[in-house]
Amino acid sequence: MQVTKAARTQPSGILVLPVVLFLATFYILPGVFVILMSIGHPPSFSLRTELITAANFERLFGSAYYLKVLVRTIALGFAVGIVTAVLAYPIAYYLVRSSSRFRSVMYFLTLIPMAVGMNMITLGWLVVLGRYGLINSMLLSIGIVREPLTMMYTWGAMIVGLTNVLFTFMALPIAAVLRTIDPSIEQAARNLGAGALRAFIFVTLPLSLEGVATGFLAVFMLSSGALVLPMLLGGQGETILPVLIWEQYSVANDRNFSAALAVVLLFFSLMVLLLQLHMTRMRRVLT
Amino acid sequence: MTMVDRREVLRSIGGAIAAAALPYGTIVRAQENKVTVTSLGGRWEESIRQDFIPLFEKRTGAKVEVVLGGPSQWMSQIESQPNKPPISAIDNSETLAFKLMDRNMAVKLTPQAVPNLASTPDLFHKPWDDYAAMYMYAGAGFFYNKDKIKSPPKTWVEFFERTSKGEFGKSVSLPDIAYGWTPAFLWTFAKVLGGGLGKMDPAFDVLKKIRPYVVKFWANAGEIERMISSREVDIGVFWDGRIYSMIDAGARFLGFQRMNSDVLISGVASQVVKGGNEKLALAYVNTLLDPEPQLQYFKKINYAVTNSKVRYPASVKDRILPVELGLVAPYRDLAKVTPALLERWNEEIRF
Repeated sequence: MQVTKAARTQPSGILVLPVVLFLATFYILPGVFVILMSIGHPPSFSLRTELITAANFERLFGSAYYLKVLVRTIALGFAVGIVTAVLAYPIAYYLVRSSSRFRSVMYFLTLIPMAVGMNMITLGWLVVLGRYGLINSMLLSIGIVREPLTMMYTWGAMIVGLTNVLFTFMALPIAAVLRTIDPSIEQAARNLGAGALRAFIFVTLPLSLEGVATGFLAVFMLSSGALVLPMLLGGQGETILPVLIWEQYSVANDRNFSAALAVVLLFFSLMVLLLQLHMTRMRRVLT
Repeated sequence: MTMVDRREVLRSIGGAIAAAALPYGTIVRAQENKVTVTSLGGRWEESIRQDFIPLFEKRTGAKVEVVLGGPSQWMSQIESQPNKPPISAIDNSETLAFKLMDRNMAVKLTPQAVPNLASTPDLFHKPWDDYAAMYMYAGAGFFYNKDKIKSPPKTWVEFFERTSKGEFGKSVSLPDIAYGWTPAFLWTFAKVLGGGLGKMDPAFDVLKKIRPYVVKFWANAGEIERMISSREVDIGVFWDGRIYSMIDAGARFLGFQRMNSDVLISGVASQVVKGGNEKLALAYVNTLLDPEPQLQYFKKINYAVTNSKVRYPASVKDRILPVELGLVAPYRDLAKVTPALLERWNEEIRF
């Protein structure tokens, strides 16, 4: 079969130029300026090496408080990622494997958090978890408790809120990968004597881990970088890095230190991304 | 299928650039009769657009463009283009107003250029050497749930004493360091407890003492208003205008107790930015200081206004904080110690 000239021609790079320019201007360039600010340099194109300093990072890593907040931020990302994965996986499995007529309703419910947005969901949880909110009102009226329970401004409130907001970011990638798994593979395992649970654990789950990893990465990045929800639902002891970044910028007016905090947050997010890519690559090599 | 070739694309881009360049002269001329100002959002913006701007436009024939946001954002915009600032008149915070002055980017307000300055008490412009002027002011006081607290405190000392004894239970709220005016509150706490700007220990000591009774330190005005509305808190400190607005909106359980002394004042420090449309910006600031729109602003927002010629309705005169009772924080010196206060808050209050 002869291959035509048109078929041999690769798409011109000019097709991606608009996107590259957009990303370079509004993503990469600001990122470079933030890195420059973090090392004491003003955001400009002319480099002045005499201004470069590691003082902001020394201040950050030399403070027990900032290190604690950093650890807490990463822990929050992991906690929300794990909780979301555990809750979203069964939903994703149902969406892909079920032929029930309620599947479309469940699909709609899965997409709602993304459609409603973080701010509205946060306000909703303020009503539900409040001192005289939905839950406490019910418990008080039934007589289970005599005083309202403290649910707001806690670590738990932040995890619940972020899990709700980011649920879709976990469910959809898992569903996308599950859809690529041929059901006959699971059926083959069942035919060879494996029970439903065993087939799931040894066949379906390993094949779907790539979706879980992708969802985890998205949830980790979004939750560790969240500002409004942790500020409203979290308490004094639950401050995370994005709140400090905002404070250093708007209250202390220390943009350089604020940039340093942002760079550290970005670094850890990239580490999780690299870890996810490495795990995905390893799995492909092994399989 | 129609294929678009490279020549057509380049031709159209060139045409677009030429078309964009054509009305440049017209755009420049139009900008001379336009001034860019700032405003906070919500009802504030409503008042700016409905009460101040129409009068300004009527007097000057110029058009106003409003940039919404906050002082930090506006300052970033101004500092990023110091030679040709995108904003001509800024509603700055008391602290950042000094920053604009120190950068030599603020225009001095004179009675010739801003005639309404003459009927604005010194308290509202002398702290900035006339490089800024406040057109409104808020007085801090105690909000309280009248159903739970029958006798609210009247001084800071009384408030701290009763709170630390657990009289109000865990239902207190105070501003967090993330709130722009918290350094001023910390200075006030220190002052009333025997300290001051160079000795802030009393402020942090008392906060640590009452912390077990604090539900949450609130980070913005919307948050504390929500906490009050949902009865998350029963007592705390907030600005008079906001509390009165909530009461007028139907919060009958809510009460406001003015302090007998050491009433911290806050407000917006309006400034004219050097390099912007200075002539129109000065006229705009003069409009902000005009008694006529200021009275309308007060009726919308419930914050007192600064022009001494404003005649408040008799029914609300009791709500107006007498200027002589007000306490203006030393914002310039406070700005120098704010980063250290933030660090200390993180280490001692949050840690």
